[in-house]
Amino acid sequence: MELDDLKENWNTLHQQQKELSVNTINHIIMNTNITINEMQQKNKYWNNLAKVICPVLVIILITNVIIGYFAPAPHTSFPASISYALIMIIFAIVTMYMYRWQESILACYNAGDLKASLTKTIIDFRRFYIIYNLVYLVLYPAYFYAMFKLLLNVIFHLSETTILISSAVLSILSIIASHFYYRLTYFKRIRSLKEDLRELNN
Amino acid sequence: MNAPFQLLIAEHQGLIFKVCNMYCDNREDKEDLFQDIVLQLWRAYPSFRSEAKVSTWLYQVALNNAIARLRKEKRTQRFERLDDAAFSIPAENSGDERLSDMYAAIKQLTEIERAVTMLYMDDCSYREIGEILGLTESNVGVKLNKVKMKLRAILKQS
Repeated sequence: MELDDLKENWNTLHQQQKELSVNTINHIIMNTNITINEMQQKNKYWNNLAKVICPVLVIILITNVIIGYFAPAPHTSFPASISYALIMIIFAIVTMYMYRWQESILACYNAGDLKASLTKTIIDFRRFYIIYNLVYLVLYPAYFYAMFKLLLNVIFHLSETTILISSAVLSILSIIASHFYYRLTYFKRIRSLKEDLRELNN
Repeated sequence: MNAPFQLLIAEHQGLIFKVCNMYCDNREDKEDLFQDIVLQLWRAYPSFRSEAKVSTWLYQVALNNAIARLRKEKRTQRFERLDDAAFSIPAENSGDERLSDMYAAIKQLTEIERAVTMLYMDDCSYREIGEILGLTESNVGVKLNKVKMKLRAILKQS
């Protein structure tokens, strides 16, 4: 049998197929609306959470800085405390931005043709992943260092070498963990999209 | 916006089912993909230009969703179980063994080849297929010939 033989029967066969009733279609659309509302609520929830967490974090850090000013730790000056607090705030803001950027790539709708869609998804993801790694390569060590200096050093009185080594180790572990997360979650799918694109280009 | 959109989905549901049947094997995945496609169509509906051909637009959104997306929407709400007949595959249930063999052979093709085949079977012109997939008309012709040869080989083997 040839493909054209199936084609001759294709439309007749599909015309006989039972269709969903308007009620069921309405139900699906309602369900879709619920899904959209859920996603909007979720976004709203994360936004609200971020709006609450950021000021709380700022208050905690300011308190810590004030304590540092009035009862200074032996190795941390007031300007240094301010800069550590700033690093932690920058880390929180960048993380929220990265999260939103990733969400927009993963859930993006592209109305173009399939080739354009595949190209856009692959390029957007690749760009995101490179920038993500470059940003956190700088941010993680700075963040861990600031965290040790500002929050933990008060209690544990760690030496500079211990803080530097701990920050480096935690940074490396965090980068490795995030690489494995992306590898497990998205790399296989990206490879499959690349194969599809290669096939379209051939 | 709700009523015209409902009408559009009701009229073209067959097209969406064909895509779901072509790209998913189990019932749950088909229902998920169906809902994802409806969701994307709903999002894209306000920007849909009425002068564009509806089926071309629907195929673009449906195939982009089935092939090009990186992640499915996370959801807690699911369908109530849909009518089994809605997801039945006519070629498999026609009683004609040759038709079901051919459909099984199509399912062994790559994602892109399946898209070309499905659009060809649905009487889309080479130009439309090209518009949906981002190929030139001559490329569509070449791919289709390749698909036909591959199907012959698969059927011969089986």
